[in-house]
Amino acid sequence: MLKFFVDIRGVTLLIGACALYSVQVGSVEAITPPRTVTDWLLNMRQAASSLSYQGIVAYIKDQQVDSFKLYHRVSEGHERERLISMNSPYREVIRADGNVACYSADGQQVVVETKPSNQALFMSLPKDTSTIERFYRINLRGQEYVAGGLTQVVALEPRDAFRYTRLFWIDTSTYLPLKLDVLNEDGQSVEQMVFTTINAKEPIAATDLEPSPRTSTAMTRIRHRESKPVGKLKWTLEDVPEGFQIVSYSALKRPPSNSAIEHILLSDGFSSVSVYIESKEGGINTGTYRMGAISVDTVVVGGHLVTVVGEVPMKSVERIASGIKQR
Amino acid sequence: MNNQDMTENLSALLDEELEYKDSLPLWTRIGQDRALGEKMHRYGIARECMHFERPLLIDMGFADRISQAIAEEPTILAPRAVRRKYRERLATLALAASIAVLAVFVGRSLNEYSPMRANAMLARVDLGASTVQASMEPELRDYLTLHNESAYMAGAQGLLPSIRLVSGSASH
Repeated sequence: MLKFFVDIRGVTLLIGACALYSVQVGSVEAITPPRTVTDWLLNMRQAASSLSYQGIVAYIKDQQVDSFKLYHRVSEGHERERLISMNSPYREVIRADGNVACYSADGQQVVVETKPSNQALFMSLPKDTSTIERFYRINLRGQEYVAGGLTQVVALEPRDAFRYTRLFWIDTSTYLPLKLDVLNEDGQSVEQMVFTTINAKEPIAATDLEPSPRTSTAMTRIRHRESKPVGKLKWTLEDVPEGFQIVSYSALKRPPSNSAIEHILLSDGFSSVSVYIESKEGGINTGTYRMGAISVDTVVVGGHLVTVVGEVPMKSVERIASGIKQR
Repeated sequence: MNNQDMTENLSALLDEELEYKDSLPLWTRIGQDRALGEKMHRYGIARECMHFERPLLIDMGFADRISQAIAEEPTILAPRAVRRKYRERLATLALAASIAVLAVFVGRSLNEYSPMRANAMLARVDLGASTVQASMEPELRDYLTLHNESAYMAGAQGLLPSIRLVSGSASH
């Protein structure tokens, strides 16, 4: 088990190399003003990944409110993001160049997820707006102020019952999403994120994107993910709601026992669903769970435990789970 | 049943792990033994505090005082059917119970939304979601973490997967 643990400084080097860049790129001027309703969404996506910004974010789920400090920095094309909980339990997540490191000072542990090496396996996400519009109605819903900025409210309403409604409050000057509300099939909010303050003008110091010193004594566990060709799948997904496609297929091992898990990631461009398959010794009880926008269904298929997890309505994960068959 | 067994059964009852056939005699005993009833009340509050991870301001004698006040209040007696008396008494008890429950909820709400606690409220307000989380198996939490770690690969997710990781809703 010890071989999975390395000193924290190694991880800092592993995911921190890109923070050495000092020149920040990306500007609002590079984004074309929206002419159609879908342009707002495309601009939002471009702004969120190409601009540098920092702020305080409130997150509301299941009647629970948490607040976080966010740093997002783009430097010479490298995107790096650090999100820190402002209250106990202390946690922070650093995402850089496809690696995700989750620091938990309380648990004295860091988990680093390495990205699959074969990028070509990833489906290109729907830049063509007609693909989005096949499954969602997109419309503008007036303008409101959020965190001191004037925003355009854009509603993404599903055309079927297998997805959630999403409302975006998009800053009219930076195109950054200042607020996001996820509504369930009854129109009730299941997850909400809102900036209470945001600054997209001041440069962000590289040190703001380094792990906090309080995590320096934590030990690190690296979870390696091995990409696999979709053609090698030993399973068929016979009842996937229309619009969801396989984004990646990979194998990973769950420490400390190193039990093998297959992971199939599906997406419709806005909602993602994961299918995890492991031997039945895994010991998870079958059944359904719901947490905020996330629905989970675990079933047994041919001596394997199949767990379907996604930010979609329960009926979607149940439908996908019931349609999984061994080849 | 000795005291040790009684305590264990109380704990199991609150955790919903006591079998139905064993719970019936325990409820009868609780109804007869005031000390045992108070012990169950204390265990219940301790359990709630552990689940909610924050102190609850609960006046343990509040429900009893309401019941006592209603019982002591002078009643205007008039001839009426026996069955109706039972119905009224049931209604009075139900009213007392609902007042007590309402008082506890109002007390909690005021406590949570008091200006004195504004910072704490912004920081974290737990109203039950943690119950689901606490009962979730580690393997399932692991899957939620894995999903959020990899969801950034799957499209226009924005900040939400990272926020879910940091919020602890699906963290290790």
